[in-house]
Amino acid sequence: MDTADAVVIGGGVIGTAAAYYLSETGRKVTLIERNGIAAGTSSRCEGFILVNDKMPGYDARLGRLSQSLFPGLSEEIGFDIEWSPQGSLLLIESEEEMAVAEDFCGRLAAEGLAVQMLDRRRIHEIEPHLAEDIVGGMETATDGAVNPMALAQGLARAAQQRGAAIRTGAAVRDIRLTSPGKVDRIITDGPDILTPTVVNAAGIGAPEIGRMVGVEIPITPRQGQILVTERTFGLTRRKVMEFGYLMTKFEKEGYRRRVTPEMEANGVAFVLEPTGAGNFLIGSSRRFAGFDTATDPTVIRAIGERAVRFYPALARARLIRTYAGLRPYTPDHFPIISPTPVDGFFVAAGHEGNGITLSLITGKLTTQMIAGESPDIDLKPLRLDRFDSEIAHAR
Amino acid sequence: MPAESAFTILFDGRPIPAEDGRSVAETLLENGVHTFRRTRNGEPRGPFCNMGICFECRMVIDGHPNSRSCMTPVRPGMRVETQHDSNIEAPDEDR
Repeated sequence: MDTADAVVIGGGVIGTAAAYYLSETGRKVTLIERNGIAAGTSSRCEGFILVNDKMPGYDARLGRLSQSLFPGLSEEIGFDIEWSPQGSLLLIESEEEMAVAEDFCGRLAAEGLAVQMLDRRRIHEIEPHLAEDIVGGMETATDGAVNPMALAQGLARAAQQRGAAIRTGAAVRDIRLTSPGKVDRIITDGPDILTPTVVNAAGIGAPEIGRMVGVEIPITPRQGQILVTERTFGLTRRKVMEFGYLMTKFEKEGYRRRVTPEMEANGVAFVLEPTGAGNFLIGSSRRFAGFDTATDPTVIRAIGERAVRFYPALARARLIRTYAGLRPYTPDHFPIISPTPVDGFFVAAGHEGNGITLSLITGKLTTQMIAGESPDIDLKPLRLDRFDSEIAHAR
Repeated sequence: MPAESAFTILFDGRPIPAEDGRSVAETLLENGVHTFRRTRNGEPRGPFCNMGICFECRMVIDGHPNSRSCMTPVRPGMRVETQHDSNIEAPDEDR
């Protein structure tokens, strides 16, 4: 039997960030992960650290709080997370879209974010490979990307250096409570762990962990597929996405792009990430497909076609592989960072496609919540009980 | 070598004798060239599998980077250049 002040379940970017900040408070932390560090969603995604895809208001403020923690992190933890700060671009296809984007940009600027509109002349000046008919864009100077695998590995190592135990390849079998409902111990396939505090950072596996203590967590896997090109010529250094990506992400009703039925059916929207190694990651798609992580030629072709529409030269880059990942989706697109009716059982999960960006602030907020400190931002919008009526309805 | 099937290709701007029906890799090896590509750390690379699967012999062929020299037949006047992975340039039509 082991003991810990807190046990974090899940070794993705969220769990490792929670372990990193929790261990900073002097708590004895154990992180338990059934596969390996970053073996799940955190290695089947892109590495964007973005505020340009957040809704103006709370979403944007939360994103910016997290983003501001990234530039100094490699030095802080002594591990290169491959932070690349070249900014992002949202591409605009039509004058109609331009009007919507200008309004969006104005609202983000009012939040104090470093956003600006680029006209047709300017965007083609800075992005010479862009399709000629693109009418403009929105640039966000603070946006960047990291290598999410390096991020999780670096955070896990840094937590370990602060005394945390990292147990990989170890599954949680059950969580036992004292009576009345308070966390007592975790039953694993190795030694059990006696602990008063559990953080459920299991992402798409969070509902399964929640059920062990009778807590319903409304997270559903939402699949996304990604194409990887060979290392090739410098098409762009910026993180690029089509403005329509936001509209598919927020599931805006009444918003129609000129795309094929395959693109529409699979939520295909163009996203491009130049990696540190010189390859490009091309996305994106969104669909509910259970726990399926197989890629699908129809979706891959649609993503490729959409990419070539924005950067015709991509047609001459070879793909070296494709992969699919499962975003932990919640019904209102916000993560859950919250206590639960079970004393000592906390949730930090459900970030959908924002997990890498929000990882650090999630680790920090989770720590503040457990330590009873005042959080960096109001946690009310992230509480689990906001879904109470939906969960009751589903029963 | 029948005269009508012999011609030259350009390797890094230098004319090299070539023969119809051979690959770029074969032609360069015959002419004593061993460095086809430099990695991002500047290390030399050349053909390894010579059958299209290892991608070590990639070169810039007629302006196209990442072309497998072992899978590309020579043609009269072809321009073949050492590929520098630290500085891959866009294909001619995309410049």
